[in-house]
Amino acid sequence: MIRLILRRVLLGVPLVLIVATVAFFLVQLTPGSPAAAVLGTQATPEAIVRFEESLGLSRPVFVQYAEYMGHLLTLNLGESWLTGEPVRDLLASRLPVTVSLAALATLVAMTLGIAVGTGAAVRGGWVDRVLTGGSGIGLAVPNFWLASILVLVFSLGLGLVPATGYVPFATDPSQWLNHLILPVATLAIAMVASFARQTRTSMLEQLSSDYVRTLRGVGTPARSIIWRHTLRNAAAPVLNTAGLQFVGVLGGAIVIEQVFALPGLGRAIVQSASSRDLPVLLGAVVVSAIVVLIVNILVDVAVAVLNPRARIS
Amino acid sequence: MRGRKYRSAAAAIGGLMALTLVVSGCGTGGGDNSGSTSTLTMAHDGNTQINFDPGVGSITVTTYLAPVYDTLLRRASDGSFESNLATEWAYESPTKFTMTLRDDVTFEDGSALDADAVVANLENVKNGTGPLASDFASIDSIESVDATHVTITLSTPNPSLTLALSGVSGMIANPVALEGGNLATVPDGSGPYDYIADESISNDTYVYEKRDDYWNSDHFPYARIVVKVIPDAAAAVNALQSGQVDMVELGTAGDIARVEDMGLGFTGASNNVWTLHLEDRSGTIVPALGDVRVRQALNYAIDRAAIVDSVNQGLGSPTAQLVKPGMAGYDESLNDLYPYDPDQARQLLAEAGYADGFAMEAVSISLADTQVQALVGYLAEVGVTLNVVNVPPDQYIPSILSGEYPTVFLPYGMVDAYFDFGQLVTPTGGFNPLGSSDDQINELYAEAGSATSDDDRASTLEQLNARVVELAWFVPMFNDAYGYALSDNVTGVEWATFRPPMYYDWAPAE
Repeated sequence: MIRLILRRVLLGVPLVLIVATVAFFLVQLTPGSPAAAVLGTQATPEAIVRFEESLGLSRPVFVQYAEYMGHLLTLNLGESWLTGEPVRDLLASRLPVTVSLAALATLVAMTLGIAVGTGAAVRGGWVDRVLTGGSGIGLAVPNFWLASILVLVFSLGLGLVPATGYVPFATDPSQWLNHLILPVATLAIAMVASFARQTRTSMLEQLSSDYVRTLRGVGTPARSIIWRHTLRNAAAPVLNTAGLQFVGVLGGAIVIEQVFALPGLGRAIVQSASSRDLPVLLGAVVVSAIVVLIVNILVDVAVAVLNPRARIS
Repeated sequence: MRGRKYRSAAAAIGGLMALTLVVSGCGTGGGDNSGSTSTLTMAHDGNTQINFDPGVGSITVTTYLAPVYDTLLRRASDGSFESNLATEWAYESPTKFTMTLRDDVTFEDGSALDADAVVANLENVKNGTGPLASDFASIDSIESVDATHVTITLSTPNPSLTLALSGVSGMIANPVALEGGNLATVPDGSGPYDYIADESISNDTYVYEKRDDYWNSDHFPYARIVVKVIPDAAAAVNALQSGQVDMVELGTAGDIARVEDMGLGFTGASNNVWTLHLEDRSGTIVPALGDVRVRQALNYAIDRAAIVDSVNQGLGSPTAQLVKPGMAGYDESLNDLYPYDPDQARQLLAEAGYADGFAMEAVSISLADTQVQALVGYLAEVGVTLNVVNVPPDQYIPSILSGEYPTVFLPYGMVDAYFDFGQLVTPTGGFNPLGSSDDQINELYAEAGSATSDDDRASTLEQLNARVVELAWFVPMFNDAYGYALSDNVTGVEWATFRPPMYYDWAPAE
């Protein structure tokens, strides 16, 4: 198991470096001087020259690249061009928001989705049709629209939860959860559908396999068949779905963070891209890549724990 | 058996929902932190460089800097200037400006704010990399005469200096911090509030607490100011409606209309005049634009009142000039110069030899598409084809300044007619990329610059404005609506012509 984790981590390092490299050169391809964009419309030409020199932007791109990668290896992401803040500190305050959001949404959706999917697979008939149909609606609803409706009803209408904002867990755990209920619900509703469908398919496959027939034949109780045998075997694809969904949520967070005014990674990406604050933008891309990598490793480990055969590959 | 299984799954879901409700019940729901104490919570879109060094900032960062810094002068919402750190000020000549400073102002560390501090700050702006360095481009030297007197010598007349000194460029930071501190993230000023870094989150929440020893304490009744960054206007309005914030700055008709529908307060004025700038006035790219009759025809071709109703939800007002109502240089009667008259437009085009119309390009951004398309429709009616080239937002201003386009669609918000005419209509102005020049305009501009009284300057600016409208260098459409939406908890916020001095005399409702 430890070898599996080590191998995944070692493979991950070059992957992050490749992502950083691609991001660096993509950013270089954007037309226009970042100095003009950062300093605004009324900047004097002298100010632009001073700005570019102070940041070393007039040097050859490969020199800048070498410096960037050198800093990256020591986990130095540079400083924001706009505020002068170290990018590492800035992202350190943003990351928990997005990870809280994505992790809670995935967890809630997975719990509900497995329950719904198992119910649909085991019961079949009209329950199956209702649940499958309902999950189709969940998938089809755009999340920015859903977010607006949830705010309208639960926040502005009923006054149950705040409409916007974020409170760090360390400051006040109950307020943290309170502020995340609507964003998490918005993201989770669409995800429940994916989990439910994946679980239903996997479960149906398992339920129709020979070992289940044998278990039924020797009189094993249905509860035991589902909980101890089929669900466990059906879990691998569901866990992989969880990994993919989590990554999807990281992307979807850009919209949700805007609607709920959450100071997360998505908002940092939007802000830094529109203001051409390239160190923050690059830093956010690299950090996102690392998060995705970690989640994939966790999924692989979880699958390996559930299914010994997966440990070998 | 199966049924029980399903029921327990349903029970689990129910339990989770119940837990959710319990947790939400624990919270305070809406209205976390406003109302109960004298805290003003503001929402701001954060669409600015939030850097506490006044030498780097632009005017859009005022919301964040105004609590911690005093400005030398204060501009009231009607455009008049009032004393603040400077008790007296005057142009001794068009190129010599003097100020007398208060002698009782201290920075957070107790050191005195004196003439040397002012000189250091103005030089910081002038020599800085910020967009406001251009405010001081005409400054030759800044000298402290004694502890309370400062003299500014200009290389060319600049009557807009008072405007600059009442904004971010006139904010005074502790000179110690200018030299060695980390002013970008740790502000150090003489203003009414201290910035509380521990409670603030970069780009999300900015917390300020009242100073005990502030010299002008009575005019800042709030004990605390919290600025929440909410980039999405709809989310900000939600926050206002649910009581999470007391005030929101709003700039689009849809949001303002929504706020008014909710019965919340709104105070504001025009921010931008939505305008097609006809840059190619000598006809080098599009020969037709070189003819004044053609440019006037374009002004006759559009129904400004209908545009206000259809694309701006009836908010704002039709206008044919770039000077905004209430500003020095504004002349209401100029708006009657080009009534909606497509026949007149066609006739002028025919006289100029363009009876069959012509085509021209305009650079714009997709954000302005609704307004631009209204214009495209009206111009098409008289045979003029406007080909709109939408560029990405970060390429918008560079494209406008490039001089490659004969016309540009650019909502323009004047802050001072003299300053902005300098940008728009003088041959070297930044927003006159093709260098259009008119002798009478140049003379009137110079005259306004060296006018010795405000009245003289205002009347010269009116003549200048009239000349620009007559020559039809622009196709202005309408004044938009902009301002603060606010809850009943806030009083004393009055947005007449310009943004009111921030936090000054804003008070919690009794």
